[in-house]
Amino acid sequence: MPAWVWLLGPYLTVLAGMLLLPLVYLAVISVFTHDPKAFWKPILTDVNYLRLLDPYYANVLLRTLRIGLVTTLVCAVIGFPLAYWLARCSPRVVAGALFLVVMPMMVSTVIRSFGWMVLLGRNGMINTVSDAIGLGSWLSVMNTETAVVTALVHICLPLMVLPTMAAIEKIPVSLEEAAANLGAGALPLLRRVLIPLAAPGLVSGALLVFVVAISVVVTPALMGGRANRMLGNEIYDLVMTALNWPFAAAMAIVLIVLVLVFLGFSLWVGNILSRRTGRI
Amino acid sequence: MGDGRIALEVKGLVKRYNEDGIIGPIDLAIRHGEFFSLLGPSGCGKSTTLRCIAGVETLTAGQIDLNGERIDTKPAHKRGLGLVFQSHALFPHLTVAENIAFGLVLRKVGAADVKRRVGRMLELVGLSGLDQRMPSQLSGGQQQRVALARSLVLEPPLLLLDEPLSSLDLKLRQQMRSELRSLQRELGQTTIFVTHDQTEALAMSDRIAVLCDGRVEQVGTPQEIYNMPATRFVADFIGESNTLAAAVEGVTGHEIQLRLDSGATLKARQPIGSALMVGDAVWAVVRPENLRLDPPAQLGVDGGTILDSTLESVSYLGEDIHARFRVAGLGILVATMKSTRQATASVAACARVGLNAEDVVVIIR
Repeated sequence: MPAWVWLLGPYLTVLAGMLLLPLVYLAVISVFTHDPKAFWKPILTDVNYLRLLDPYYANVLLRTLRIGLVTTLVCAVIGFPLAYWLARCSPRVVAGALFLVVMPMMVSTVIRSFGWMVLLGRNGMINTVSDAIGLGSWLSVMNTETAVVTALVHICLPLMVLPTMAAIEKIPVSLEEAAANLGAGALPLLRRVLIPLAAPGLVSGALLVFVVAISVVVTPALMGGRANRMLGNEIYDLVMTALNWPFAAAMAIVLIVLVLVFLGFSLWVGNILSRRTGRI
Repeated sequence: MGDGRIALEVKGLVKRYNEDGIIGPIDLAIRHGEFFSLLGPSGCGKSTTLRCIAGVETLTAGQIDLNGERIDTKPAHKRGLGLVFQSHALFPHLTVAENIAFGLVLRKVGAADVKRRVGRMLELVGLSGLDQRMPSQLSGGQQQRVALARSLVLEPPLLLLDEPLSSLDLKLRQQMRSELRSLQRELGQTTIFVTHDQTEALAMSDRIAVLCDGRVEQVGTPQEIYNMPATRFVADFIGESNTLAAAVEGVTGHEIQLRLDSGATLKARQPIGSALMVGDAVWAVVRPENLRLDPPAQLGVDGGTILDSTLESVSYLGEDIHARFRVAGLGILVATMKSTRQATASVAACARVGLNAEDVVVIIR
């Protein structure tokens, strides 16, 4: 056997044992019947999936999807200029700037959410300062979807910036100069050259952001309150409190399917971005 | 060639980099329909000058006028000049046709018109049938043609070529050289061509500006640049030359007498636009092909000079022979000639070399 098989061996073993098997287990119990005494009974049922169509759970599902998409979009819009700047500035500046971009990832999600609460809360810093200078406590964003998205963008931005930056670095500056020379101002340059060529980076960034954004637990719990629960919160409660594992498993499977659907969707968008814009 | 009107005027262009680098001031005037080369070694500022004209680089001081209108204050995308890069800079995500159409689409040209003009351009550069290829599927020469077509399709008032041939191999480069030149003539396209290759510049240009260390050393036709170099740098950079230290010994009208360091005397003409006086230090430049082997005694009477020499070495270069002679007090003189059987024999037997008075170019030291 070639050497690489041996090198891959340990990883594949871990992957099979710790990911593939639990996944199969998850898929299996998601079609089993809930039993308060034994977690589940091996009786096939579709009740777990059908329950997701209840207005309450359907709402949670839609909200999760919406928050995921909006977060991804905002990250792309904020992240692209940042990634462009990072890709084009001198190596000395990059080292420092990259550290600043990645630094939020070094702080736990809980602490970051608390940071946002201190800032955005009803009696938070922004309202206190605004009140002190006579503008009143106008900010009431806590416990809304906006608050959740704000905190998620903060968490996910590096995931968008890093792959996008790597893709932009590969675009020779001479292509930008050529585009300018042929008459392209900033917007046509962006639309016809930079975005199409950075599309692979944008797609990987979007995937990473979306996956993280739809599976969070802590952030919606702290920033969104009772009214803005996401799938992650429901799964957490079902596993830890209600001990309804089959239903939790069904939700987890749906989450995975969402990710796969988004994967296909973003590859399709990426393809359009990178190919169709130049068509004549 | 055009009607002699000035198309582009560069006035006092200065470009400063960081702290140590500075280019200029550079003054240039390019005529309509002219093929104008900026020639110089790397780092002489020729590419930077071109990039300032194109607008992808900003100038520190100076002014650039195109047909009497100031353009250095406009951004690159509003200048409408064609720029072709050494790296071709084709858009890798677009087909050949889409690359060529890029500028037309930005100018909102109608689809049918775009198709027609792209087709005509493809035909002009000999790439018909390759319109649906991606740039990565093309050879270096084909990519170069697409880059050229992409600029030419916009019918720019000025085409700027930044060493477009130096990424190609020798055979292809020679072929593209003549293709490019005949295309330029056919279209009457005013063109500035940046190159470090003197052969390329001499072969293609109507006029050449030789640059060194951010300054223009000389502007002239290839013949003028080669036969009447204005500075020591031009004499050394363009072709090979024998540069001999000399002093002015006498002046009679336009004619001057030189005394070489070896003691030999030589007649020459005053350099154009200067009045040398007795005692001035000069360089006497003689091209290797003008060095005479075993000259007749009459040469000395006619104002030339005859020097005793010993053969140092001979290199056979196929078509040509390069011979190096040692002359007491002057060092090594190089002679080149066509490699005939007769020439080989005469080089071996040569004991004296001669300089014709009319072949000597005088440069102020």
